[in-house]
Amino acid sequence: MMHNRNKLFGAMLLAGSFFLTTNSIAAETYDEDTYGPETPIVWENPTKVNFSHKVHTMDAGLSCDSCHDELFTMESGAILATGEMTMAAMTEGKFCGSCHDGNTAFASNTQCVSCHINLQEIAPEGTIVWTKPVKAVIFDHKTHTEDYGLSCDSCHDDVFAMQKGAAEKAADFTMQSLYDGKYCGICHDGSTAFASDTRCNSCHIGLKGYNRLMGNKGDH
Amino acid sequence: MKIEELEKEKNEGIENLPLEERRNFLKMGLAVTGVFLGGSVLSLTSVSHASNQSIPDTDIPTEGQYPYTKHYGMVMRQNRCVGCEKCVEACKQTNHVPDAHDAYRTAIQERRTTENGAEKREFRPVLCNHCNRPPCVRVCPTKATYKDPETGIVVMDYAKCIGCKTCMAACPYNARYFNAEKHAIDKCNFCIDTRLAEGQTETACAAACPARVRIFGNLKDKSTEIYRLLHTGDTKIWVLRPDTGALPNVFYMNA
Amino acid sequence: MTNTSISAIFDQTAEPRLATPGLNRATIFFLIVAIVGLSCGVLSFIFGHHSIYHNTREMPWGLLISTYAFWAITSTGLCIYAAMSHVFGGTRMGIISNRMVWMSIICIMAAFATIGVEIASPHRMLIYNVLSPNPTSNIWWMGTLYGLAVGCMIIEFAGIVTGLVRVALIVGIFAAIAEVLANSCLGGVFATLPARPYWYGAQLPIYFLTAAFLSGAAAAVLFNFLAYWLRGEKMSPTVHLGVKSAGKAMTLVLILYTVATFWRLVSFYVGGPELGRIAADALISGPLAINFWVLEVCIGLLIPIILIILSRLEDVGMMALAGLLVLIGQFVARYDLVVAGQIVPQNLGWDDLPSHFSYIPSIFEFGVIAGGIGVVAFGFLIGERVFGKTFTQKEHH
Repeated sequence: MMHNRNKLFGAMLLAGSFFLTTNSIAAETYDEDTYGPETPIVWENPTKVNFSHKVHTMDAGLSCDSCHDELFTMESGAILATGEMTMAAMTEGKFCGSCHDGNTAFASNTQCVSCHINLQEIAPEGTIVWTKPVKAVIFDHKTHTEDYGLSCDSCHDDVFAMQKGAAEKAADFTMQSLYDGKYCGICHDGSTAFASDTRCNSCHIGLKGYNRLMGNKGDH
Repeated sequence: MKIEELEKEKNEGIENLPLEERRNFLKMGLAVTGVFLGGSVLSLTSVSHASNQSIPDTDIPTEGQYPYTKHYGMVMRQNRCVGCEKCVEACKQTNHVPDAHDAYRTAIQERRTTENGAEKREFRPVLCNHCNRPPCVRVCPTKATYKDPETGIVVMDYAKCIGCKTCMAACPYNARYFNAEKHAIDKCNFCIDTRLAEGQTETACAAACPARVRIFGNLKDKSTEIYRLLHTGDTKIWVLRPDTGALPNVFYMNA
Repeated sequence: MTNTSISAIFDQTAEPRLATPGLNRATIFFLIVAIVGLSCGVLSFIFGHHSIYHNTREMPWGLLISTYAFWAITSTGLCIYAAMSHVFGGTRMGIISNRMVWMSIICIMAAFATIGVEIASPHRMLIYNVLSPNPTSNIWWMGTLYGLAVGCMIIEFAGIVTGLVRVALIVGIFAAIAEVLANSCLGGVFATLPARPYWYGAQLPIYFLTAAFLSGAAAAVLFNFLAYWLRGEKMSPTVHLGVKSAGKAMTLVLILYTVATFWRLVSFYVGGPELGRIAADALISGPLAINFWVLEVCIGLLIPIILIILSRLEDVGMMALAGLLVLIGQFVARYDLVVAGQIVPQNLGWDDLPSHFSYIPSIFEFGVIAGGIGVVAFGFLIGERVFGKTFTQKEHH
């Protein structure tokens, strides 16, 4: 007897849950004619970027003509062929940047992962090696993002411009600046992360380390 | 002589000796021990006391025990070294060190170890230790290398060097190399001819160091930073290969 | 006693029987070997020692220094035996001592030739050894004493040839004293370097002197055998007795030397500096292991002992073979000693250094070694040809 009662109870639960699910889907049906293609657009060039019509139309309430065809032609892949859609262009207010300017929507140089679904794609996988003012200092994106959970905008672009070699060009890219709370020193202050004047050789790899990294044989 | 009476005598020590006398005694100690094997004679004389070798853990001379008028030395604040080798480059430029693979007067040594799965790096600057009892000077057949009488710097007289390489074999610090251009053995001389002679107070390597690892100076002068580093505070100070009894004048610390 | 005519002297000493075409060709051959071999070393003055020889900043000394030590040590041994025979007259080696003096001179010449092309600026040595001597330097004393010894030996030999026995005797004693002191300073060159624990220590100078007695006796047996072999003659009973005495000395010192080698190596494994132990490892199980076990121990010590036992000190040929093997072993032993002293990096643990450096002598270094052998072989043949009769005189005093 007990056995049968349990079976019955289980069947009722199952039926109930089916009812609930189908009901919720039915409440908001995605209409491709109104909201655009349901599958997210994925650009492969220059990096892998994800764009969801749903988020912008159904959720944010934009209409098709908010973007088409003034900002983006509706033809698949056409915009990529021009090669003009870069982060720099967005900063100038073009493409996504016309809304993603920090007022209408989050600025294009923040929240990178919202569109760049694979962070590793944009953060250089290899170690960053600075050679000025001294040879050589390393920085590993992976350690800071994956291991310590920082996001791109923790450092970019307020602390470091997202451009290769930019920091090295600055005259104040020195240990003193770090001690003064600039650059790495913002976090590496002894409380958030180890202080800049300790554990020197966590980042400094020396000329020998540099040569090894570059595949040169050291001079002795 | 009655030993019982002598035993009651208080040890005079060398603290109360006039400076000149002490210096002469130290120099004598150098000359005597130079001839014989190792430190057997040294251990019988006060020289060992003077160098403080009898006290374990301190390889540095104590106050007033520097035999030279301007007793130059260097302190390496080892943990500050980031291995950038600007010192090596500055030395090569200043002292015209040939661009050969094993030609250098100073070098940065690197040690990599793994600690809790992470790679740990250490750098150690090395140069001639300008020892108080330099093995190289003792073995040179022609006095081509000698202690500068005023500063204690171990210098070369290139014209006298016969190239027997005994000094290279004798040096515990690998501080010497054959300079093909000079056709003689070459080594660090604390920039005595290139910088000190022109009134500069620092060696090229010390001046070039961005991390102020190398503190060069006169150990005799109490106002110098090197004197302060060596004689105040309780930071551990060590020298390289103290077992060879060479009494080096390059000291290491983590500060 | 003094002969005024030089040709008259040579008439008395020369051995015209040895002026055969075959021996002439051999003499010229070894002269060419000496010239060509030493030319390899002379090249170093043109192209630079650093590019001709495989020595480095970390290992400044190599095959040339060890070969110099080998010839110098052999010279010391020969000179001591000769002087002892001369002084104490009665020993049985007296009969072969003139040849030993000659070969001692020849060996030291080979040593000088080898180190002459090893040193970067020998001309400065000639000047500043005199003008700027350093009395605390073992090298200075060694060079000066060997120079003195060779001077004395040449006078001694001239005395022997011209029949000035008394001069030869007295100067010969000075020569032997100078040789012993020089040998001791040679040992001291290595023994007084605390930076190199494998060399440092009071045993080494005695070890070098022991090696001198060993190499000297081995060379005495070998060269006397060769001298009679060249002539196609059997040794006279007195000469045979002399060679037997040398053989006996060789046997005795062989045992002493083996014991000294054993304890020397054991001492590195019971404590002391790490660098010394790692250096000893090079011989026991490292890069010098084949040199040590095969050439030094088997060929240089064990097989000679067996050969001597088999020869019962009667078979000169077998003793001469033992002598040759001893010399080969001693040659390699000097090499191993010089190399092992520097083979461990002084800053081991830093810069990813291996526990042992690698050093393989260059073709030019081997060339110089061949040149040294050429000098000795040529000197031996010329000696037999020009002074042969002096060497085979029954007794010279």
